[in-house]
Amino acid sequence: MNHRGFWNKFRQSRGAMIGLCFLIVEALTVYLLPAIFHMDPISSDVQAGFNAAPSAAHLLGTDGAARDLLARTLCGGRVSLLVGVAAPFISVSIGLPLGLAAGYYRGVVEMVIMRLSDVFMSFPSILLSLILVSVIGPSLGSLIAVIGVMGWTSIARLVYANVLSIREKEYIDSALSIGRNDFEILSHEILPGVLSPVFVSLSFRSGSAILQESGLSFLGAGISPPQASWGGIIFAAQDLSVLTRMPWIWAPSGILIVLTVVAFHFVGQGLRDTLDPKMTV
Amino acid sequence: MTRYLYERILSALLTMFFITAIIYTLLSLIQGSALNVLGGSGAEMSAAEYEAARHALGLDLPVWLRYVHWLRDVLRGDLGVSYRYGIPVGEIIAQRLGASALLVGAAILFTLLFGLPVGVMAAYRPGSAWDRLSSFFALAGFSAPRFITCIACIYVFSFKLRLMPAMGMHNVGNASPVDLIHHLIMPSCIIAFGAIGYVIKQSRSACLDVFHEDYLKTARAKGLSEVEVIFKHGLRTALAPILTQIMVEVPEIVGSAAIVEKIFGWPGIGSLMLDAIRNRDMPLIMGVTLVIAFVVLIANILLDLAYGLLDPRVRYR
Repeated sequence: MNHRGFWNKFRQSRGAMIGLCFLIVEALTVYLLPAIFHMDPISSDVQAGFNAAPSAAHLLGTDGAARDLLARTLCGGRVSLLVGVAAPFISVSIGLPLGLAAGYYRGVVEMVIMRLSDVFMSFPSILLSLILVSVIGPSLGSLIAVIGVMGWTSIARLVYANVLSIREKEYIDSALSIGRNDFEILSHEILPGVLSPVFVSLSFRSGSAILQESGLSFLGAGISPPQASWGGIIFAAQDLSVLTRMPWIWAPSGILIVLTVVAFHFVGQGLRDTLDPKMTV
Repeated sequence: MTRYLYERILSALLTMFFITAIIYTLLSLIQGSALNVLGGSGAEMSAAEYEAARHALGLDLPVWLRYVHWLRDVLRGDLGVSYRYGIPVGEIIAQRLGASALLVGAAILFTLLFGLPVGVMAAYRPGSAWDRLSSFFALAGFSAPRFITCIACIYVFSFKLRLMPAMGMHNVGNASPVDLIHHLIMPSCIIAFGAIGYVIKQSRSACLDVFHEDYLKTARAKGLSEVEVIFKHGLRTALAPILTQIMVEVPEIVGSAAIVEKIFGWPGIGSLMLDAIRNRDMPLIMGVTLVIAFVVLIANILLDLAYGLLDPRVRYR
């Protein structure tokens, strides 16, 4: 399918277009607005008070250190979007080669790789991520790395399943019989067939990367203050009086996390319907 | 059949070995800080005292040897002593395991109890309003992080409507089962809400496949009622892939239970694990890791065996 055909078909999917527009507007807002209005997510405005309710000076109020919550929410959005875009590429760069190798070579390679993914999948990923983050120390880079690495299993399994069905096709036999080597077959014949499911799953992986980042930050193991992140902002709601009396602190970030994840999900569904409605990702 | 079971148990043991080895190695990389946490921020240690403490904890040995020692002790039934609390890890876990089992058990029960019928009915009339409503519900389930659902539910149900307790397992001085169930409902439903989306999707697609099978036509032709056809013949076969889904999700259910336990102050092993990771309490982390890995793998084996009971066509090789 060429680019024009792809775009025309993708455009038909209403949910995907709404999701895509939401993400574009959100990205522009969180990157441009704080820069244009010189918003400051880090300094305290002691005159406004701690945990102040929304007012003209602070549209979303202030947090427990009297920092402007609007600025913090916008800057937190940068973290979430960055993690959502970057982490899946790390997952793919690990999962794709391993999945290809397991599906193509079978035998010992297959057993080692697939057993390793079983091991990863039989332990709660949030706990393993927490341990990994404590090993390398919390920062934006390490969060992206940890979430990316933890995502390798789902990509590897997806690629593996697709390679298994492709390698039974006749054109693989033909390629073998005209003397192509493994590398040529993998890169020219098999890789193109597994790319579209991987492409579709990127969007779904983005959503779950954002969920994981927010979870880790909420547990205090992610982005550390004074840097802002949505999960970190909601961390304040672990205090019962913030939770019950100051919903303006945690509600906007909470709603934005859910909407962003839903938007990525819709885009993923649109991509899947466009590329192959029968595909299971 | 027996051979199959042995193979399953053997591979489960191998998986447990790898999980504990990986986590032990990772933890050993942050060992230096374990002593710092143990010493407390105020306590000053001389270099000699530090070395003595390292030696007393066995931290001066190579990692693989320490892991072998840990494994040997585990096989003897000794999980070690918590750095933080100074009491045997086995005792701490035993105190808290019941609470987690109750929470996770109730969550899995709710997931099946709501997820299955909703998915089956969605498959019965694909494209209907019910189908779309259920897929919206499923999407909400896997898009909302557990901690946000917790906070929103506590805000709405505990503080606005004053229907549900926000904290703990019991009201003080009230140990009645009714009180326990009252405290259990909200946290377990929140965990179930996160897991239910996949069950709805899976049961819908499994039933869509089965509903076109010839043996359902046969069942209808025999004059069975529609309810009997769907639930006795259709669902029975469809249950196998649905159980696989639950099996895949058990680790994630345990993981989200940890967050829910922490927010609700539920005294289980999930919140214990989160605290242990924060405190770098290595023996405790390893103990809980072992328990979680064990539970997940037992669940896998049990569900695997349930296949055969559900779908008469399954043969174990």
